Amino acid sequence: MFQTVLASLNEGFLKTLEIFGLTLVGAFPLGLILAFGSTSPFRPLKYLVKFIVWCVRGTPLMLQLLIIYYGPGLILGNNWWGTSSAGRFTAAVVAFIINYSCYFSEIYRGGIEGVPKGQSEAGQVLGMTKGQIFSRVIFLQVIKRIVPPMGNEIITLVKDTSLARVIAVYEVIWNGQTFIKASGIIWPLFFTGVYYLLFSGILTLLLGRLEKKLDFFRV
Amino acid sequence: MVVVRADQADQYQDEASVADLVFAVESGSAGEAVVQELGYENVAVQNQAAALMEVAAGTADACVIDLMMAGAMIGEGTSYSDLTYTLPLNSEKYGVGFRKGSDLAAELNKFFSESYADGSMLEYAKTYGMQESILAQ
Amino acid sequence: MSVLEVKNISKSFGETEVLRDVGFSLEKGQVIAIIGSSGSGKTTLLRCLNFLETPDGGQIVVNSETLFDAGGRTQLTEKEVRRNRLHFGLVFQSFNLFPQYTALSNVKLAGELLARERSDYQAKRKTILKEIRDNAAGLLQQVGLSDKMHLYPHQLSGGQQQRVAIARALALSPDVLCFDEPTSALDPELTGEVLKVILALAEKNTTMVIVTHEMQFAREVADQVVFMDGGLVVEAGPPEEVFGKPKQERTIRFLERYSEV
Repeated sequence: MFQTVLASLNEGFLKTLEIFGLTLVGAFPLGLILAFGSTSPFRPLKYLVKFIVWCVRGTPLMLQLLIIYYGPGLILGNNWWGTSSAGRFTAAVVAFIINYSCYFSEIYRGGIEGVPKGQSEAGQVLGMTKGQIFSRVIFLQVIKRIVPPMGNEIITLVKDTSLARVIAVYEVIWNGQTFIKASGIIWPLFFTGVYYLLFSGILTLLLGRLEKKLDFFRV
Repeated sequence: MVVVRADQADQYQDEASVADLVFAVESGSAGEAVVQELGYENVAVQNQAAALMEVAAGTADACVIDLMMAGAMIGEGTSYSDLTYTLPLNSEKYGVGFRKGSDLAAELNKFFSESYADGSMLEYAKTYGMQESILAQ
Repeated sequence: MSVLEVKNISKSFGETEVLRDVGFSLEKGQVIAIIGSSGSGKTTLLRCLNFLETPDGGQIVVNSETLFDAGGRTQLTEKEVRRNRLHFGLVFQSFNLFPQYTALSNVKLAGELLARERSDYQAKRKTILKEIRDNAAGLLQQVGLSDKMHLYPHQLSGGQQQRVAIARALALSPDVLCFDEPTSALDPELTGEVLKVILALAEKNTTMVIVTHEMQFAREVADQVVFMDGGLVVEAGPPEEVFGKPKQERTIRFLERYSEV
C-alpha cells in the first residue's frame, strides 16, 4: 500500500512542481512589465494596470482559477480550453501566472522606488546612460531589497499550487485525497505535508544563500 | 444519471449515444465507478457541483450525478436551467451511516418504518420530487 | 578667458520661482563660493549647471562653448545632455556612493563605461583599463584613502565616503568641480578632513563652485564669493569684501546670523 501511495503522491508532486516552475518562468517577466506599467508617466496605462492589479490581488486565487477555466464556456458560450487535461493544466498555469505577476509587480515597484534618487543622479552627473545606470547601479540594489519579500511569495506559491485541484488538475493534494474515497485511508493526505516541507525547506536554504551572497554591501 | 445540455438531450437517450462523450464525475463516487466500467472517457472532479459546472462551461460534454442532486440542482429556477438529465447509468440504494455502537441507528430505523407505515415518507418524497425513488415497501 | 559663464538663469517649479536672474563667471583655476540661506536657490543653481534640471531662462557657457541657451533649442537629446554633464563634476551633500562597489570601483566605474565608446577601445583595452585604475588609485591617494581602496561604502565613515565621492567626481577630469554643501551631512569632527581635501584641490588650481554653510572655510578657499537670496545674486565679490565689508542690507543680516553660531 505504501508503495502505491508514494507512487501516486510522487506523480502528483511532479505536477505541483510543473505548475510551480512554469508560474515562476511566466510571472517574473510579466511582473516586471506590470511594474513598469504601474509607474508609467502615461496616465491611462498607469491606471489600467493599477486597476488590474487591484482586481487580481483583491480576489481569491481559487475564484480566479474557476473564472479563467469555466468563464469562457459559461459566459461567452465558447470554451477555448477544450475538454482535455492539457487544457486544464494550461488554464491553471495561466491563472497562476496572472495572479503571481500582480503580486511580483508590487514587490518590484517597491524595490525600484526604494532606491534613493541620489543614486541615479550620481550616475547621471558621471555621464552614465540611463541603461548603464539601471544595469550597473540600480539593478543589484533592487535585487537585494526584494529577495526577502520575493522569497515569501515563492514559498507561498509552492502551497498555492494545490488550488489547481478545483479545476481537476491532479496535483499532490488531490492524489492524497482520492485515497480517502477510493480506499478509505486518510494518512496519504496528511503525508503530502512532507513533500511540501521538504521542498520549501530546500527553497528556504537557497534563498538564504542568496541573501548571504548579497550581504557584501548594505543598501 | 447522465446530465447533458438540454438542447442536445434528445441525442443522448441511450448508452450507445453517450459512449464518445467526455464525462465529468465526482472522484470516488459510484458514478465514477460506473463510467470507468463502461470504458467512457472521464475526468474526476471534486464534487457533483463541480461536475455540473464542467458541463455548463463546456469543459466536459456530460456528467454523471445522483438523481437527487440532479432533481435539486438543474432545470428551471437554478443556474443550470439549460441542463437536463437523460438516462440513468445504474440504480443505487442509499443508507445512513452511524458510528459503530451508536443507539441512533435503532432510533432511525424505527422512525423509517413508522413513516413508511403512516404514509408520511411518501409525502416527504413528493416534496423533493423523489416519490418514485423511495423503496417500495 | 573664463572657463564658466552663467548668464541670467531663471527656474521655476510650478508656481514657485526658485531662480530669478542669476549669473556669474569663473576663471580657470579659481574657486567661487556660493552662500545663502535655504531656499535661496543655491542647490537648484548647481543642479542646473550639472544638467539635472533644465533652466527656464538663461545661458550656460563653458570654454566659450554655449552648452545651453534657453532662447534656442531647449530639448536636448540624451547624448547632448551627457556630453554637457561631462564638463562638470558634482559632489553631493549625501555622498551618493554606489553601495555595491568598493571605493576604488566607485571611482573607476564611470571612466570604464565611458572608455567603451572610444574607437581604440578593443585594440588597447588592457592599457586603457590600467590607466583608469592607476588614475583612480592616484586620486584616492590624493584624498588620503589609499589604504581603504578595497572597502565598501558601508565600511567607511561619513568623512571617508565624502572623500571617495570627491575622488570619483575628479576621475573624469571635469572642467568645473561643483560641491553641494559637502559637509552639511557630516558630524562636526569629520568636516575637517573633507575641507582639508578641498583646500588642497584649491591649491592645485582646481576650478570649483562650492555651495557651503561653512563661512570660515568659504573665506579661506574662495577667490570669489556670491551671496544669494530669493533666487537672485544679492552681492558678489572677493571674500574680504563680502565678508569684511558687505554692502547690502540682506548680506549684513545673513552674516550676522552666522557669526553668532
